[in-house]
Amino acid sequence: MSRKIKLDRRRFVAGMAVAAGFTFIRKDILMKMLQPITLEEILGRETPPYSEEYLRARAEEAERHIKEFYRKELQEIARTRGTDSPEYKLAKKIFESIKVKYTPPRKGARYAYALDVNKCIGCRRCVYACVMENNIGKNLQIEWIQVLESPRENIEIAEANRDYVEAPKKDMVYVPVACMHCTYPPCVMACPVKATWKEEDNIVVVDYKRCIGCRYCAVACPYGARHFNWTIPKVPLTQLNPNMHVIGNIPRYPHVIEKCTWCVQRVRDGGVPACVEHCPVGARVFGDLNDPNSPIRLIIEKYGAFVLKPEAGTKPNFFYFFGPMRTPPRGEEK
Amino acid sequence: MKAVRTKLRNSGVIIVLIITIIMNVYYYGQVNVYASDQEYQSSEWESCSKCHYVRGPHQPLGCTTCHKLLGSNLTLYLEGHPSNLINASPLPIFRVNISDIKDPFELNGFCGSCHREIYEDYLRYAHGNSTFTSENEEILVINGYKGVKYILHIAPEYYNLIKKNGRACVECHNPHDPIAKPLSILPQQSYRPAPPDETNIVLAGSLVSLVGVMMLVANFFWRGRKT
Repeated sequence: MSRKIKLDRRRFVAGMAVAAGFTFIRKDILMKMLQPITLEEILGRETPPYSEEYLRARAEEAERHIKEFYRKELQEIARTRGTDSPEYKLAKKIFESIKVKYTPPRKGARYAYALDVNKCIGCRRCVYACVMENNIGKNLQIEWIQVLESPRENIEIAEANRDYVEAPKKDMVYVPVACMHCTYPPCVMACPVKATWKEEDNIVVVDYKRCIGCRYCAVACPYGARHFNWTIPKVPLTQLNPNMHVIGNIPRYPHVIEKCTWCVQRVRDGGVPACVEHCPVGARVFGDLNDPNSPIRLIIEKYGAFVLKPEAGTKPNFFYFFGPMRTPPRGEEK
Repeated sequence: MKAVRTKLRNSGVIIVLIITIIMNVYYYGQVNVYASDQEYQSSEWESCSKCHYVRGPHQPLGCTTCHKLLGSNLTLYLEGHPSNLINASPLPIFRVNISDIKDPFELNGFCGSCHREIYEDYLRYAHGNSTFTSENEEILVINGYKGVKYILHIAPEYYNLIKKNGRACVECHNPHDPIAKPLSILPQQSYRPAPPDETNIVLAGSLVSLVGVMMLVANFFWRGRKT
């Protein structure tokens, strides 16, 4: 049942014109729409853990993109507020010091974290510092650390209150929960595209460019540590942290998973995570387990430690401990 | 018979006395040798706390930090009755004008002379307030998330950060009133709205469902009457 098309002169000319249009005139637009892949791109594609050269290229690319994006905002601040305003000065200072790093893990390092449950007063300073340090979108209400409040007599994580307003209260224990950087991370096992992996120094990281946003890892995590960007995360330039790491705290794309990285941009250069620095009571301790003089070794030798949900079999590297008794002890406060 | 009885009684008393003296000498004169100072400290607290109220601000202190023991050899300690303790070394008199000291970190050693354990934690960054610096660093305090102030480190190079203690002892703890709560470290109150009250929603939902059920029942009865 083939139907013959009459090829008269007019139809032939029209068809030729359309073909010519697609081949010559609209080619550039077509190329943009289809985004052809070059051989170089295919050969250069690596699987994590990435090599240093590849990460450097990625970091340079990310820095260029971030600077392009924030240059417009800087110009707008200059236009609306004027170049003499303190806002513009701060924004310019931050813009000039934007640096995306690709520091590899330090050899022989094995980081771990400890938290004193006796000391924590539940002020959520760690949460706010974390949001600022890691360039989390301010429009998303994402907080990587969740502080759980439960009665001191019966610490039950499942029934803990997450939305308390006032703190500290007597006879209450505050347990901040974030990514545990497990030895056997179920999120890494669940990822279908290998977008998240465990580095040599115990830190579990996410490649935001590789993530497809399926959220399997968020389901697999027993600690609720993974958070999803439902919309475009917005970070104003005056609140941007210019010290960035390419697999750490660069501004995220929409529809990717993000999580705590133990401030990889600080830790790999010898610093401490932002939550450790900003804790007003010093409940948080961070260090290298392989270093005999590190604070984490001192804490585990002196006070011992326990982990959350040991039955999950994930072997977390985030420890909780009951430090020296508060002076005055709880219940005898003035 | 009486004489025999008194003799027996006396001899019994004497025997009991002798036994008690022997036991006393045995227990009071017992010398325990400890391998290290740390091992001693842990046992010391247990023995002292049987009689003394070792709580509150004195708990982190070792007893020997203020009281002197009868043994001069550091590895030999006498355990037993507290009469062996002599209150011979009161706290050292530390005369200093606070206004003269510009750097409060100078006082840390003085605090650490008694609070040994906490000072050890502090020196190894396990007591908190550890911060980092880098060369030519500038610290900016900006208004951050939910109106909470945040310290932003801006440096030309972030490599090779140096850890250091952020605050001295007296900046958080009041040395004149050690029992008082360290108010200076408590953060400012931040805006944290309470979560929406879900009880009203539950009530409204249950009311709606009740009305729906009643309508269904009424409909059923209405139909039944018609047929």
